Amino acid sequence: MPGAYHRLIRLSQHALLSAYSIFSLLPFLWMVSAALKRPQDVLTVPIRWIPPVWQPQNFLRALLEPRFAGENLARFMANSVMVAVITTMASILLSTIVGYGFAKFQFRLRDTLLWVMLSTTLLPFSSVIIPLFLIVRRLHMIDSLWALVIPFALTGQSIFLARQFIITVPGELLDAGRVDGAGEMQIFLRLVFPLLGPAIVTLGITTFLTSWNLFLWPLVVLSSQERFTLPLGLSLMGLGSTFLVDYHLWMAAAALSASTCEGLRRSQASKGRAAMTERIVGAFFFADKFLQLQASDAGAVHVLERLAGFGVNAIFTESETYDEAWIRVAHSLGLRWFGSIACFSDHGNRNKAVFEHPELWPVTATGRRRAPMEWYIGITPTYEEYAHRRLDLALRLAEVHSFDGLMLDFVRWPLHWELECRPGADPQHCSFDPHTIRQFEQFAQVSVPVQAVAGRASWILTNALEEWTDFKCAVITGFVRETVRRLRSVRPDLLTGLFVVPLAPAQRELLVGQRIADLAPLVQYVLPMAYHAILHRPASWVASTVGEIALAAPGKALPVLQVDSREGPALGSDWGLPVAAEEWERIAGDTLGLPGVGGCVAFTGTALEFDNRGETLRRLLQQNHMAE
Amino acid sequence: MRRIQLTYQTKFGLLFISPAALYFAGFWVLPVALAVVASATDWRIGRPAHFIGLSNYAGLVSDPQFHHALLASLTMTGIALASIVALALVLAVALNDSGLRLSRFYKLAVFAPVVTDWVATGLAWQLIFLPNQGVLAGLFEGVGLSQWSSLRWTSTRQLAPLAVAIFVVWKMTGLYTMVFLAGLRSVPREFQEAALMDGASATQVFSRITMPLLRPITVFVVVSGFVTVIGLFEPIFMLTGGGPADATRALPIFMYETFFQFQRAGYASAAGMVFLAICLVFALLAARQLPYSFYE
Repeated sequence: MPGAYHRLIRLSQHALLSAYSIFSLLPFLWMVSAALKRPQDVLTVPIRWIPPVWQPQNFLRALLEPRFAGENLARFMANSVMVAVITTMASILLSTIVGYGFAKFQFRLRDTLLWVMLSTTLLPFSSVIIPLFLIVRRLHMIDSLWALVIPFALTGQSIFLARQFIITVPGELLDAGRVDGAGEMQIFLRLVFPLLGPAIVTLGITTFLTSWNLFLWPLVVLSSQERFTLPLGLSLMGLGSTFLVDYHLWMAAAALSASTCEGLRRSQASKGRAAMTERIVGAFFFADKFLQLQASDAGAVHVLERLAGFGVNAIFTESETYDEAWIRVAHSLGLRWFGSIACFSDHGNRNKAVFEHPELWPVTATGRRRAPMEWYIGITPTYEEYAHRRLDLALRLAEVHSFDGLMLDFVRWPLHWELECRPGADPQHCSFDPHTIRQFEQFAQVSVPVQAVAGRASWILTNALEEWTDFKCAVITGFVRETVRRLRSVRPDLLTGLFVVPLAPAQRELLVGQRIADLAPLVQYVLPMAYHAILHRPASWVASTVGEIALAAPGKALPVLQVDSREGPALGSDWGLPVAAEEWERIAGDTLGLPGVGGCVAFTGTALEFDNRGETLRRLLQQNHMAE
Repeated sequence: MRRIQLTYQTKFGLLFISPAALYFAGFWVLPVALAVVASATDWRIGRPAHFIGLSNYAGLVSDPQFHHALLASLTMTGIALASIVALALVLAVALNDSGLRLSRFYKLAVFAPVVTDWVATGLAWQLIFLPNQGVLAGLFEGVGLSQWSSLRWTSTRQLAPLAVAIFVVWKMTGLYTMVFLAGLRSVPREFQEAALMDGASATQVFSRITMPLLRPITVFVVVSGFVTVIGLFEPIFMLTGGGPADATRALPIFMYETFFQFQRAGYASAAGMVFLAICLVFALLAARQLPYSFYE
């Protein structure tokens, strides 16, 4: 797209959105400013946005001065809080019970019943208020606060919300409970309910706000002023009431009520981020080595307990199959479990994919297939069918397992950067197969001269380098966006992240197509693989590399640090020179001290056992914690 | 074995959803049944009721007050809903851009009115619309339109429905913007990107690709928005109380007054039934379009 046209669109987006934001926020701004003014400064033409004389005591006066037959707003507020809290607690219990029934049992007419419940949310409350009043009158609940609680303790919306969350609880967990002989109610209370933390927060806030904002219903059923709720009390203040001159106090009272709503909503919005603010200290394990132990083995518990002793609070691993029992053991010890999936590399299956489908085999600028390096070949990411198969696998893993998060690994263009990006080595560009070049031509609106592959590659790298970089980044960003979106739809609570290659930004974009500015907003964690020994770099290189990523992905950088190199040969890899214990201490200390770095992942967890490196980590974490 | 498995599932499934069944029976089925019965009587609160068949409904058909309420409801709902749908769609399209700076702030600003309560914000809007001294008057003065500053927004028959509609638009647009935004997210970007690559302009992409894909959501927003907006009581109560000269006396206000002020329980129940029937038709239409993911 031409730049000027694009800029024009952006400009009009900002113009429209800021105009609407002003319309949307102006009443609130005016409300707050009026609430802080003297009465004579409230209604002035022209408007005085900044109070000439500040009167913050208006809030206290609005709350405490008795005005309505001896009652004050504080009383109304207390009533509102009481009603909302009781409704919320009842709603959390009832709707999760019902949601569990709808989510985890099969019976006839189930979906029809759910649909009926949900349809009731579409009817306006005012359409049933008269008949409902007749019922409540018959139950002798008129002028009682219970009349405000009971009809709202269970709604179609709360049932549906609870059901959506409970449906993500893995069925294996329930089956395990049944095998252990637990009753259905016990399974719900002991196994399901404790897993619903975030769901309960959302459910609670939604119900609380609905209850807090009720107006017509209390207006109808309440008659004694001592039982009035806040909206009802506020409505006594409006125009036509006897308090005509106290505009500043109205606004103080209104601002108090409105700010409760906003405050609650903000806390709901930040709830998703709460998980992130907790520092992740992870340990990476290669699945085939680590998971050989049976989860039921006492040794497994021992390994995890030792890690927890080092301050580790999350296990990172990568595989296409997981043992749910392991995950449960980790959870029981308070450790999170982050699975990961190799998106564009099939080394987990000895590269079977490229042998069976040679078109997936990356082609270098020389026109030849990438030669295998160590265990790695890589896969060209432009083949939709393969990409979709990986996406499906990711979804299946996320559905079946109770992971806390799923990290995307090898989500990049082929490059064995561990060897190819050492100082003095020459990285190979990929992939110049005809399919990829065709896609590039469409993307960039260029036509690559028809000649041998090597010629086309060198034409691209000299004449269209920028477009080629953009294309590679677009392919990766598109895949990550789609994967994360689909993952969210099956598991709204799942944390996501991606491993990134530790190269300078321009090189990273050109060689592997990872553009941090585009990728970071899509996920919760960005994990730079700062393996200094593998890349033959000094210890000081780690902090500068991680620092760059932390700037590009604020609050999301979770560096993966190389603890030692001696495990490499056993895995068929060269992990570089030995890492001295002091070197590890320096790297971990420097990295944890970086601004905007939320934690780290030890590569590998096994290496933390070597000469007290885990102890070193624990000490550094403690110091770091004290410094904060 | 299979049969036993099924009955086990059914038994516990029904057990767990039984609170919902009770709730639904107690707070939807029973009240509506009661109101149907009441609507066939001349019941006034505090007096004995007599069965009068469909006379209440016949009365509604020829009651100019009811016609007026219906008209007022449709006018205000029409103005408000058309503006809400248009604004929400445009805002959602503008917000559906992952590279947009400040997008978090914009979303917060657009959504802020949705979560606050009608009464607190209604008090503010009363003062915004106040002639000569109010905020709107101040803004008009500020831009040199002083002849407009004396407009009596909430107390002239022509302007009062508009004032109510403006308040409703301010309060509700954010909600439907989020619904559209959720819908836009589910439109595969590939279609749009492919069309852009083939040389289509942004306007063409929007009208030929995005809009047709958004059709089901637009239908949902229009239908469910209609039911929601026509059922609103609070904005009218806060701004005009149904006045001036009944200009904003919409159905919810009509029912409320008939029942709670004039105590005509039977007649009000009949009006309630007609209103419920209107809402039910639209709710069923909307439920057919109900994309489950919106409620996440």
